[in-house]
Formats: sequence, C-alpha cells, structure tokens
Amino acid sequence: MKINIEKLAERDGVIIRIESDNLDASNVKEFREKVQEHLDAHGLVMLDMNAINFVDSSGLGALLSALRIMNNKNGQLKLFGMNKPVRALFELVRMHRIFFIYNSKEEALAAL
Amino acid sequence: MNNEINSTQLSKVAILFTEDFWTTKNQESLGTSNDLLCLLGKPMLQRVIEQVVQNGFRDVHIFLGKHPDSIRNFVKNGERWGITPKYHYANPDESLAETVARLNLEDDTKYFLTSSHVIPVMKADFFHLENDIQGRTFLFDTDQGCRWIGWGFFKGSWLKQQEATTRAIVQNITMDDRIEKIEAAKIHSVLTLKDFLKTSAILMEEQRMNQEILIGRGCQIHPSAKIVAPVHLGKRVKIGANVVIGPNVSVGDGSYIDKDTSIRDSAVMPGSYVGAGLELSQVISRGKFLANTRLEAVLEIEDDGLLSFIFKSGETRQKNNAVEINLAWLLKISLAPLYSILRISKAQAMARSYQVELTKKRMFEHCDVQRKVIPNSEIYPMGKLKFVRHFVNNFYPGLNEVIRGNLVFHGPKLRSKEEIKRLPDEWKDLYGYKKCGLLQEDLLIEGPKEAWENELSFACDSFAALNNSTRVMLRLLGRYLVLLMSEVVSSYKYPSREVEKKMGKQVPMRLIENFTRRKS
Repeated sequence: MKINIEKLAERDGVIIRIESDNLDASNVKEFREKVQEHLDAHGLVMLDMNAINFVDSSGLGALLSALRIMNNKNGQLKLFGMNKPVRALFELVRMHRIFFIYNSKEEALAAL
Repeated sequence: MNNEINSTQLSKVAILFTEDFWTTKNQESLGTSNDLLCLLGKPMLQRVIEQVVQNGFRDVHIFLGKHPDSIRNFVKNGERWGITPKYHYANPDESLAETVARLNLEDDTKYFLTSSHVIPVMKADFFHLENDIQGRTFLFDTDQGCRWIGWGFFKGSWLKQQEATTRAIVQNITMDDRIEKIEAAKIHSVLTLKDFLKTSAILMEEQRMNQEILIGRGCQIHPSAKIVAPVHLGKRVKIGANVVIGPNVSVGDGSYIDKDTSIRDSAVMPGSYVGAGLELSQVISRGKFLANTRLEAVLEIEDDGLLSFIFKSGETRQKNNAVEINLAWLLKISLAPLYSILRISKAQAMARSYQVELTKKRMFEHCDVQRKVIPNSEIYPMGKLKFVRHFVNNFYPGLNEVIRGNLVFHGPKLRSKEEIKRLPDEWKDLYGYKKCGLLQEDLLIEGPKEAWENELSFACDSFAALNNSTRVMLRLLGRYLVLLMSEVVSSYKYPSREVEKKMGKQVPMRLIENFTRRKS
C-alpha cells in the first residue's frame, strides 16, 4: 500500500492520501504501520479516501483505532473524498455519526 | 379490465420488452433484473404479464435484456399464465426496426407493445381503435421532459421504421400526428431502484395500507419490536427485539430482521438477513446486496463482520466480575435438576424414535402397493400435479395446519436431493424445509376398491376430507383423537431397541395397525 503525505502549512497537521483501491484485510496491517507515526506526531490528520472503492470490517476497524488514538490525545481525524459505496457502508454501520466526513478537501479545510 | 379485442386489424400477438431493452444506461443492479424484485410479494414482470393476459393476449414475444437467464427462468414456458412466450436475445448493435423485422410483422396490423419495468393506469376503452390511426401510446411527464414508457399499439409498418434509441422513438411519436398520445397520470415503474421504492410506497397507498399493517402467515415478531404503518410483512418473517419497522417498509417472505435494527422507507427482498443494530433508510436489501437509493450506491457485502453493528461486537463488551460469576454458578446449580429431567426425556424420545423409522418403512411399502396397483404411477405429468404433504414425521397431528383444498395428506415417494435441486424455487423450499411431496391426483381417486379398503385408507380418507366432505373430515378427526389418546396412554409401554434385541421380537407399529384393525 502506498500513501502520500502532504503537510499543512498553517497548522500542525498532515493530509494522508491513500493510493490503494481498497482498504481490507489484505493491506490493513500495512496501513496501520504507515499511518501510526503520523497519528503520534500530529494533532490533525486528514485522510483523503478518493482512491478507495472498497472497505471491509478490518478496514473500518483500522480507521476506528486511528480515531481512538486521535481522540485520546485530543487531536482530530477527518475523512474526505469518499465515493458512494464507501459512504453507504459508513452510513450502514452508523460510522458517519462518529467520524468527521467531508465531501472534498476544501470543505474539510474550511471546517477547521 | 377484461377487454376483448374487437378490431380485426388488431393482432393477438403482444411484444414485451424487458429490462429497458433499448437504453444502454448502466443502472445499479442488485444482482438481478429490477423487473424481478419483489414488489409487495409480486415482481413487476409478473404484474405486467398478468395485465397482458387480462387483455386477451396469449402469444408474447419477449425481448430479453441484461439478465436473460433470470427472466427466462421466471417466465419459463408461460404455462403459469397460459401464454406462449417466444424469446429474443438483445443485440446492442441492432435498431428497433431490425429487431422488429425478425418478427415478420404485417404492415397494416396493429401490435401491442409493453415494457416490463412500467405499468400505466389503463382505461377501459384503450383497446378500441380506429382504422386510420398509426397507433396509440402512453407518455409520462417527468422533470426531464416527456418520457415514453413503451406501452401502446402500433402498426407494423410504423414499427419497422424506428431507430434504436428511445429518444429517437419519443421524437417520432411527438412529431407524428397519426399516433394518438395519452398522458399517463400515474405509473408504476422499476426502471431505477429509486423508482422501485417509490412504486412500493404507491402500491401500499393503493391497497389502502396508509394506516394498516399487513402481516403474513407464520410471522414471528418480538414483543418489544415496534411497527409503524404502513408496513407489509410477507410470510414467515422473523423480527427481533427492539426492532423499529416503518413507515413504508415491505419485507419479503422468510426474511429475518435482527435485533436493535431500524428500517424505514425500504424494501427487504424475500429470504434476506438484515443484521443487528443497523439503521436503514431508503434501502433495498437482497441477500448480500444492499442498495442505498439516496446515495445511488450498491454494496455487495461478503464480510460477516459488517452484517452486524461493528461497535457493539468490538468495543462495549464488559468483563464479568467475581460476584456475577458466582451468581451464574449458583443459578446453574439450582437449575441442574430441571436440566437432568430434560435430558432424560430427550433420551426417552430417542429410544422411541425407532418406531418412526418403522413408520417410514411402512410408508415405502405403501407406495410400492400403489405402483403395483396403478400402472405408470411413477410418472408425474405436468399440469396434474397435486400438492401433497407426507406424514412421516408429523403424522396426523399436522391436520390443523392443512389448508383445505390445497394440501393433501399422503405418503408419497420421498425425493432425492438431486431431484429437489431441479425443482422450481417455491417447491424446493417446501421439499427442503416442509418435507412435502408431489403426487398425481389420479393415484388417489382411481385405485381399486380393495386397495381403498386396506392400505390406501389414509390417502383416500384425507383426500376426500380436503374436498369438503364434512363426514369424512369428522371421521378423520375422530380417528386422530383416538390415536392421540392411545399414544398418551401407552407411551411408556414401548420397548427400546435394546429391549427388542433381547426379546427378539419387533416393536409393534401402533399407529398404522390401529387403523387397519379398525378398518377390518
């Protein structure tokens, strides 16, 4: 799994762009390892999910643990750019009530 | 709407286009054709065919779309409705004119065109046509302009000139004054999944279900579940604890809604499982597919973890403390005597089950007698099939479950798994779970009299009873009560298999022998 990191100029935060088509049991371990250091280092993490077409329960679990880490240190985790099936999945399991989800990067930045 | 076709120039051939035959738009799909999704217990395709049959058409040319096999499997040879279908496969490179040319239509004859994804509200005089017009069709006014819904009459010569796309046809219809246009005030449509949900709600309204809840036979609803009208529940639906259903929800036969889930403005297709703790709105659920019509997205769920609410299973599990563990042990110890009694009674039942095996054996012998008595009784010709329930495991106590005229008690040949696989879905279900059989009606009523007197007494009696003979029905009921009494009185006298081995004699076949003794 490849991820791109973009640092925010105005705040202590990063935008993580996931370059994989799916986030499931096959790559979730790698995702956790790669994202962990950024979660520890920054107070604001924004996940760009434009490329992801499929998320399974282990993917959701990884996102949840990322959220827990950020909440424990009073940080923020924001998700943006979800496509329709992934959004539908988040709504199905009521995750959309727990995560901050935005349509685009601009919307997510404006909400800071 | 039973209209006879009165014009000599009106063909008795109907042309049915399935799955929006002309458009190539890639709609979100639930793994099957939208025409086949269950709309309050009946798919749209079935409603359309019924409409076609009601109007007197018997020869139907069916043009198949993206899911040809599922449509063919549903319509089959059309015997169910008395139609003769002729199938045509879709060719994306072909225009309507070329498609129609294959049918060898006559120029001056008018043909009835229908689409399986739409039903307009039709008037009684729709079929009375003047000779000079080229056709008559329905149009429906939408936000994006006038839409042709595919229903109408057209002359063969006019059809032969048309191009492939619906847009071109609509243009031709609107430009051509010789085509009579009728604006459909209301349509039932399943063109998109959103339309499907809307139509489901309209149908509920039309069936005056605004303030009503329809619940099918054999439903199990938890006392804490809440149902808000209008709701349509099919047969054998199971609803778990704290579930909130409605308004505008249709749940198909045999579906299961797990606890703490809420559903509104949605449809659950037959045989679906909806997981625990979910919140569904404007959703169609079919097996592992879940379509959210608001987001216009279809999810294919192959992950068991997502079928139930992820947080409940993962986060909120609490460890029991020492007091709770001790209390649980105390409860177990106090319930131990009850548990032992249950185990003992189960063991006794196991010991007695040998008798069931003997009954089964007797059943097969009984069927063999039939085969000998009536030639060709192995053959079950289509059209004369009767719905029969065998009584191997649920003997006469099953009488109260039988619908008069629909079910017949008998001991038919038990079918093998391979045979069951080849049966249509509705029969497969009955075989798999209800242990029913098919039997030729003639076997029961045309047997020789001697056979009626002895071996076939069960079958003949029960058959007569179900054909509204009160006398035989009462006799049957009386026998059943006598059997039940003898069962209660003598239930502890039967030797187990071990006893039988020791004594070297057979266990008496109480139920069957009682009957034959009384007869003789």
